[in-house]
Parts: sequence; C-alpha cells; structure tokens
Amino acid sequence: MSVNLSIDINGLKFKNPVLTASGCFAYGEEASEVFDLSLLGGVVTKSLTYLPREGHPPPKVHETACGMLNAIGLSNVGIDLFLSEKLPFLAKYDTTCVVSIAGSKIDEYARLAERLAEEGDVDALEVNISCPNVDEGGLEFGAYPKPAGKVIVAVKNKFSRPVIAKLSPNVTDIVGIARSVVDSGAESISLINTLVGTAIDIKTRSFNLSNGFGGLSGPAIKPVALAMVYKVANAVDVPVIGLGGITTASDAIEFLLAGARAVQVGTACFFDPLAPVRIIDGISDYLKQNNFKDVNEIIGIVD
Amino acid sequence: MRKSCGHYPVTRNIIISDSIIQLTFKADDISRSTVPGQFIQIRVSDNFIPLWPRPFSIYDVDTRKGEISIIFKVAGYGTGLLAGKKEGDTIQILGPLGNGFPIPSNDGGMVMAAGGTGMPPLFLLSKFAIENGVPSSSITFISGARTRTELFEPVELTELETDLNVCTDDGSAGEKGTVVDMLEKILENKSGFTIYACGPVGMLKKIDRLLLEKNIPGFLSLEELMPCGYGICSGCAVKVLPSPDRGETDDNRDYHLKRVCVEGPVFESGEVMWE
Repeated sequence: MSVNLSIDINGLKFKNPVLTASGCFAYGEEASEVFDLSLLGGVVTKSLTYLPREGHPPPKVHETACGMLNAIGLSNVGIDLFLSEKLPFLAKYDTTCVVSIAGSKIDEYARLAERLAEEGDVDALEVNISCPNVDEGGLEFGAYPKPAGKVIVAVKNKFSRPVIAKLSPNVTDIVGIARSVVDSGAESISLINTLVGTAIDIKTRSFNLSNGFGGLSGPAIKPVALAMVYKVANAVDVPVIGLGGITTASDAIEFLLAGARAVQVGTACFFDPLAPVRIIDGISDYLKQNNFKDVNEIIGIVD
Repeated sequence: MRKSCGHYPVTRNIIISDSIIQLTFKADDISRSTVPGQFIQIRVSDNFIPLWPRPFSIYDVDTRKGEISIIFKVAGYGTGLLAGKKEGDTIQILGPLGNGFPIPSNDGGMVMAAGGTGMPPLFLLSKFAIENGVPSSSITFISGARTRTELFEPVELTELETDLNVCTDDGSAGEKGTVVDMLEKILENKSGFTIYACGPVGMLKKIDRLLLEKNIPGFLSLEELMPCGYGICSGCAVKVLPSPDRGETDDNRDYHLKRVCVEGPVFESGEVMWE
C-alpha cells in the first residue's frame, strides 16, 4: 500500500512534509555529497542579507545538554553570489526551494524580495524576522506584532509567490505575532526559531560565545516548540510549518499531530546527516502501520 | 567529493598506553577515498549527550582490508565512551572530511612536527609520501608530548624508519624540550624543507611565527570542535586574513572566516589570524 506524503501550503507544493531548516543546511552543496537532495520535501537556505556578511568571530557555537548554542551572526554569501552560484545549484534538484531572507532595515527585506521575485527557481520566501531592527534601536522585528507585520507587508509588495513568516519564540505572546503576520499577508508561518541562551566558562569567567548570547537549538527545545506550534496552528487560518529539535520521525509526527502541515529538520542535520531522509521514511512507515492513506489525515488530530 | 555516512563496525580496540587508544573500523568506502590530513566525524553516542560527533584525524588506512584507524587520548566524556567500544560494536561515522595535506612528491625534505594528539595525520602523510617515492630518511619526524604517558608512539611509526625525534616537556622520554624547541634546533642546520605540523593551538601558533620569520613553507592542521564537520553549520570557522579584493560587506569585519572542516583542517603557514 502506498501512502500520499505530498502537502500543499497555500498553493506551494511539497512532495513530502520534510524540509531542512534555514542555517542548518547552508545552500545544499555540502549535504548533496552525503545524500540526494531530491528526496527532500524542500530546502530552506541559509538566511541571505543583501550584502555578504562574515558573521561573529569565533567561538560561535557551544555544546549544551541535549542541545547547542550558536551565534553565527548571519554569515552568508549575499544576494549576488547566491543568485549566480548557489541558486543554480539548488535548482538542479527536484525539491521545493525556499529562500530565507534577513535584514536590518525593512527596505533591505524589500530589496531582497524584489531581486528574488525575478527568479523562477525560487518557490517561496521564508522571512527571518529575528533580526535586530536598526531603524528602531536594534530590537528584533519579530519581537512585537506591528514591526513583524510591517516586514511582511514590504516583502509581499515585491513577491507574489508564497511568503512564510518565521517566528521567534523569545516573545510574551507568540499568537499575537502570528495573527499580525497573517493579517499582513503571510501565506504560512514557520516556528520556532532558536531560544535565546548563554553559557559561561567558570575557569575563565567569561562567556563561552564571542557574542555573549546565542540561540539554543536541538532536542532540548522540542517540547517548547511543540507547544508553540500547537497554539499558533489553532489560532490562525494559514498552514503552519513546525520546527525546533526535530531529530526522529516520531518527533516529526508529534508536530504533524499538533497541527503542523510540514516540518523542518535543523540541528539534527549537524550530528546525523541522514536524519531528514530517515524522518521521511519513518513518517511513511507510521502512516502505513496505522492505516492512514495520506499524511494530511493526521495533521492537527491530537486529542 | 562523495562523503560516506553510516554505522560502521569496530574491528579492533588496542590500548597503546594509559589513556591512549587505537580504534580500527571496517569502512571500505572511506578507506578507499582518504588522503592524509583528512578526518572523520564519529557520533560516540546515539543519545544526545554528547550531541555533536567528535572529529578524529585518520591515522591509518588499509585499502586491502577496507579498514581505517584512529588514535586518540581519553580526554572527556565523549572519548571515554569511544574508548569502551569493542570489536563488533557499530558506530556512526561521516567521512572522509576536510581538505587534507598536499601530497609531497619525491623532491622534498619534509619535517613533521607532531604535538601529542597531532601525531596521527602526520604518520599517514609520511606513509603516503614514502609510498609516493620520498625516501624515508629524508623525512624528519618530531613527536612530542608533555610527558611519556601522553606520547603517541605506536609501533607503526617506528617501522616507517623516518628520522624520528622524540621529546617531552619533562624529559621523561626522548629529549627534554618542546616540539617547537626541537624544530628550531633542526631548522638551524637544514634548509629547503617543508614543515607539516599538527598539535595544540599554542604550538601551531609558535611554529607559524617561526616559519614566517625564517621564510620556510609549511602546512598546519587545526583542531576545532565541530557540530557538523561537513560545512553546513560554520560553527568551526577560524579567522583568516580577508582577501584584498573582497568587496563591500554588510558587517565590515577585519577578518574573513574559513571553516576548519571544509577549507581546512590544513591551512598554509601565514593564513590563520591567531587569537
């Protein structure tokens, strides 16, 4: 018996519900040396800024209990090199291509969206709003409903294909922010980004990361992510993409049951490069074993 | 280049000294594609503690038997778990990874400067060089450690018949002194050599400075903790001098970053901006 794994996010088609998360897959070239990217439902690229960024100095990562902290600092190749080298590479694969964009001003998001709108190989944008808003004192765009919505409006003005707003968990009311980005035109929401955290070296009595603070990811954050996905999926009318600590098929199925229509695999790609492929197979096996014919049947059915 | 990822069986676990272990794995595909200076990422636990795999330089390859070996010092929780692996246990390995050393042709005098855990890749480089026609007598191999029990001195190293110079900081084995002391002494009398170094960062930094002062070519292999080991996370990046033709960037840093796992672990002398 074959099962249907394909899903649709407001017109955006994925052959299966498993994507790789932004910042955990670079632009796909390295992972393509380990497995065939065409197996994936989709790829979300590393966040692009308009100009290239080197990012924070080392140390940029720190291992924690069942997780890790990162302060990479949005290092990326910039839009020009992405369009000339990275996008043509990804376009060779039969997988949905989602480009993540980031900026320090609303205008930067708009300029990125405008350039990417010209590229037929870009199926959708994921808008990383967990960036310091330079115009408004460095507070993250994603921290409050209004600036989060403004970014989405600016992107939607330039990009007519689906736009996914990626939400930060470091807020008091994630549902309020979710409603704001949907009202501003986002076709989908992905959540969660990393949780702010830090670690201190007691020998040197200094922070382990050069940037002081970083983002916590990995299996440790899964329960937090799952709760937020459940809340947001029940509050908005657009499809939700769940991520945060997903490492096994069982983790992914929990997110689908909680209401996510698709999932992203992030940190697991670091320590288990074949995790996305095993998760796809594992979801299929689960559906067969439980007599479901279509992955869409299990989305949001948790009691 | 294709990288292999899977669970590979342990074929031997040899205790070299108190805290130094040699593990051999059956890994046909990795043994066939390895060049000296490359490494593998080993996920020591299928649970999440530790979360990251650990990088190990490939010490030896046997393409006939389809085996690869590593030698490591038990230094913490992860290496402790690894030391307990027995014949028949399987373990997740990704590799071969990294750029590796340029393989020398038979024209060169080579000096290997190995500090403690830095010995394995330099052993493999020497072995490959000899197989490529470099006379073993033209390879000077310095192997040093803080003390005798921390020396990586497997029998295969002696069997290569290089000009082997052993030193320890406390004089408990070989000459008393550091690898850098030994290298300085050797460089006083010889020239026309290329230096290949692997060891603690303090040692590499001193060797880099020495090579730049004396205008001697060399290659340094760096060690960093790596969340992924294959280039997707950028967590292991080190600072290098930005190229003069780097265009405008968003964050105007005075450095460029290179990933130790892809653009390294081997860097040319003078390339790395040391902290």
